[in-house]
Amino acid sequence: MIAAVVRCDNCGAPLGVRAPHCAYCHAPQHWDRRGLDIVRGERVLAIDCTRDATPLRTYTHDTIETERVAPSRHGVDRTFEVTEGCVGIFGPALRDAVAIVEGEAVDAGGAFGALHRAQDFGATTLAYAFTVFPARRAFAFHKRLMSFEHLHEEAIVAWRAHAAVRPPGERNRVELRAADSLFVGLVNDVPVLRIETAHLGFGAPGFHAACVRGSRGQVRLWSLALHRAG
Amino acid sequence: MIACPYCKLDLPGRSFCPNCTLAVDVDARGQATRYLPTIDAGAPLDALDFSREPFPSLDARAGDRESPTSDGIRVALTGGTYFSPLTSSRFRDGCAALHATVESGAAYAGVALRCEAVDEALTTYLFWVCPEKRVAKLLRAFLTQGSRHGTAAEVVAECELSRDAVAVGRRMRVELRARGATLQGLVDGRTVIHTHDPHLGDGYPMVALQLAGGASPSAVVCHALTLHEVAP
Repeated sequence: MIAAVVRCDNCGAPLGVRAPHCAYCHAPQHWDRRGLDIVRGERVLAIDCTRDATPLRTYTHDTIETERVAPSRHGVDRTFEVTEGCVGIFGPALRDAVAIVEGEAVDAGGAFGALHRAQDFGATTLAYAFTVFPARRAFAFHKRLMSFEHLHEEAIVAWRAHAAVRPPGERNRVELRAADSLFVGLVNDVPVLRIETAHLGFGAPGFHAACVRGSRGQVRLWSLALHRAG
Repeated sequence: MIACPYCKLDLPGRSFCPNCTLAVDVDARGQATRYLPTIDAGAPLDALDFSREPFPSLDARAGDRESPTSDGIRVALTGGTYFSPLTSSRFRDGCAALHATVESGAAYAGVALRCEAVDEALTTYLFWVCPEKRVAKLLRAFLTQGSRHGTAAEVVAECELSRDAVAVGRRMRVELRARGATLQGLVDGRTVIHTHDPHLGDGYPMVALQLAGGASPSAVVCHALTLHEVAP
């Protein structure tokens, strides 16, 4: 059985993953019998970066994060030159959702990925980040804290090489699915990450581009999409 | 289309908001009101009697200090937010109750739930009571000591308390219960705040104290902290 959005079998109320009882109908929950997975549901938002403007936020003011838009045979070529990182939020705050970012690293320094549960605390944003680093053909899952002058990453799953990650110059489709505290990450439709973490329970989906090696990295974005979970 | 009272997104005619998980009752006129399940305390997890034992380890913030007394740990507050370095293991759903007396001045005393450190900062829910101002507040807070990030706190809910409910110099029991996205604040066993906030999912419980803005130094005696599971 697939519990796409984690709900009580008895009354349909939303559940915390591994909660022993439903808060509403008090029915006991049997997690050992429940197969947990998250499927991609209805698409609620799509941004074609060769046509549409990207919803960009920049946190670093002492370095220049450049979004370069140039005509191309696809429409426009939207490239980010990043030092520390730039971030865009492209949906409302949600608990369960699927965020998909399609892009490519133009050079060996570029990394990018999908954010989920982004929450603003004053001028600081805290989010989960599922990132690919094409030059090393690796992915990672972090808690990412971004403020005006500072970026902090806390690894939940540290960089791990995987053949599903394509090298610089090729497109990678990075997908982060979330249902309550369960997160599933896919790269080019291959599941590579599955983890439970419950710190951030609600927040907005987004994308981020970062430089992981060297002083600058270049990332080209192709598309962003948001789906319901299940 | 009816909008969810919490997240304001469309409710596709269901009992629960698919975005923020709030339970809703929709009346005949199409008005959606929130439905919040009551949280009852279940089996005890831990009980700390501060007249006999110290906070498990001491990590007082600058300017604050603790001293043992016959009925608890006296914490002198001169500024900033004080967190005990408690206590138990991390949990999502549970109840934490602080038995405390604000000895003098305008100080908040209460508990933090779902407290989690990130870099130099903490994210947490705080439920605390200021007897002098006769106010109870539930905050979602991002607190930091360093200079990298700014402190920010959002008031999730607050309420005024009656003159009989709390008083400076009188012992009180301040309790926060959390189950899923439902949060319930109680003072001496009476629910004063009952609300929905899905932002923070799990973390550690702690004792939390703070001087009210602009107030002169104060002291709070922490008598005990009890932790319970939520009842099924």
